[in-house]
Amino acid sequence: MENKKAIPVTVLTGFLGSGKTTLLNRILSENHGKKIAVIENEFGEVGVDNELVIGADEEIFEMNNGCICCTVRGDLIRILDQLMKRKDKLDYIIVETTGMANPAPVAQTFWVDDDIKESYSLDAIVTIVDAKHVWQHIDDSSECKEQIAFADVILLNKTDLVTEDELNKLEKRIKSMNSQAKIHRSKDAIIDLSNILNINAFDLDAKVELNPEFLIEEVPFEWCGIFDFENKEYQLKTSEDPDPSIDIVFVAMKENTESEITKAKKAAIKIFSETYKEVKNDKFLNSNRTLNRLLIEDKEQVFYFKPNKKGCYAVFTQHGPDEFNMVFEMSGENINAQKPLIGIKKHIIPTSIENLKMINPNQVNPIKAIEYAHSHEHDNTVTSVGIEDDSALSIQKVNEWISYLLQNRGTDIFRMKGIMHIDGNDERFVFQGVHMLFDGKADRKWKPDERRRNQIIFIGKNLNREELLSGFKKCIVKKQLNFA
Amino acid sequence: MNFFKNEFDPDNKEITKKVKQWVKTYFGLPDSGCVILVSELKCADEGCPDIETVISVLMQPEIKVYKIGKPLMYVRVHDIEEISKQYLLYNN
Repeated sequence: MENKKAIPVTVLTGFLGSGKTTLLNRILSENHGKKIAVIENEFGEVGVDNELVIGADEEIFEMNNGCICCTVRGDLIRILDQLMKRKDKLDYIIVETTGMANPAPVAQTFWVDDDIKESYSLDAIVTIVDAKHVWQHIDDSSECKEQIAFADVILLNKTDLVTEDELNKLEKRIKSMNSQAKIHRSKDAIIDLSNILNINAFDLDAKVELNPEFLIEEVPFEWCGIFDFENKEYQLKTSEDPDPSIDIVFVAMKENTESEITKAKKAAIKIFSETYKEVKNDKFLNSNRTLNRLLIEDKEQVFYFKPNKKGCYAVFTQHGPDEFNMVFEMSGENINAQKPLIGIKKHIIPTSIENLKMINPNQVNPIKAIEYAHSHEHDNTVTSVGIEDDSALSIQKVNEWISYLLQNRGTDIFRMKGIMHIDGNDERFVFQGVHMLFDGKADRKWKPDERRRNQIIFIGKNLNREELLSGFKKCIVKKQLNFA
Repeated sequence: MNFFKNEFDPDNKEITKKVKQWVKTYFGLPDSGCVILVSELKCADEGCPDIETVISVLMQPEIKVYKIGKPLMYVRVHDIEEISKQYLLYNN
């Protein structure tokens, strides 16, 4: 992986008809002056007269019975072994997979043996998506999900067949599955080749870069309301929740601006991973930066809170307020706050500001409401989980945690990647992983003015955000409270 | 200096070369038409050693996989001699 003389390899995946062959032909016919070998399964489809188009027959073999993490491509190994003898004459290799291929065995082939690692460097996994027809597969096909989840680059092809809105919707869906992949749009697979070749996605010597928005798609709450609270006592009323508890966090803000909301959101993501404080009916909850767990009974309940100071607050709730009939009211004798909640309609707090109506004159409504996508952390949908935190980590604990993940979650974690801030070391620790294969090392020194931090991304299925966060937190040796 | 004791990707290049040579010798493999892979697996299955060495021999048309129940750095020539008996028994 780290050998500079190694030949870069791009793995090209995508369903049949997505445009893989068109892209391959484009790459081979472009005047780049490079000698490119193409290893393809659907042999004969590449139309360019090129002596280095090699047929492969997808000979998958397992090194450990039934474990996808230990599965590699025998045919590729044989071909790569042959190509080693002529590697001075080659500049680049492209491996095209079949439409129904799982990219894991192909990627793992490049990690499995020292000789292969020395001779070849996996550059990136590029997945081509048919922007019009992918919806037929994206919900049901595990291969389609895996191809998207494994990708470093996703090319949304055939953009001329869909509207801008449809493209945006597709892009959003893809980002929810793989927040790290760079997404490009193309018609007839026309794309600047520098976007798909020689991008060093797997090279730990290259600058490891994580998409700074990688936390955005995965949040542990479903709703946020921005409120203007007085320095007075308030009541939070609930009823009829199917869950025995609801988590709620208040974050004080300087003002109601987008940047302050983003800051509050980041803080809330961290607070939601901390130890909760149980709050029973008729008790006070903490109105700033505490994870309150409201214990919900099968009746109307009232919880109290009093903001420390007058001002703007972001209130984050685990579920939408309509699910547990949440309503805020001001306490006080002259306010009709004792109105029974029985029979109260759902959607008491409007989930969007456009529908805001005062149902109860004592009710305090948000000045802004934001809905977040429901978390899919417990189903088998492919998702990304990002962790960002400034705390220094114990290298010994990190070893134990990663070893545990590789052995016990290796099948479900398709890719992991990140930068870690190791306690007592002036160098960043960077790592990459594909299923149970892992490569990590000390990188450059942290710069004097650089914020030392951990940025980790997991992409896979059945990812449990709480479990991953809990494992991460056990590695922390110095807890720093600021999360920004 | 690399401060990180990288337990996930130890530098086994020298021992890998040696093991490949032993496999070639004891299995009686030809100079060409055959690929030997040497890998380490962390097996999560109950009863398996924490780390196993896996040797894959890719001949045409088949692939043979052998496991040695210890990390690669502890593999010795007699371990290869032992697994070669299975290979020779099957191929003779």
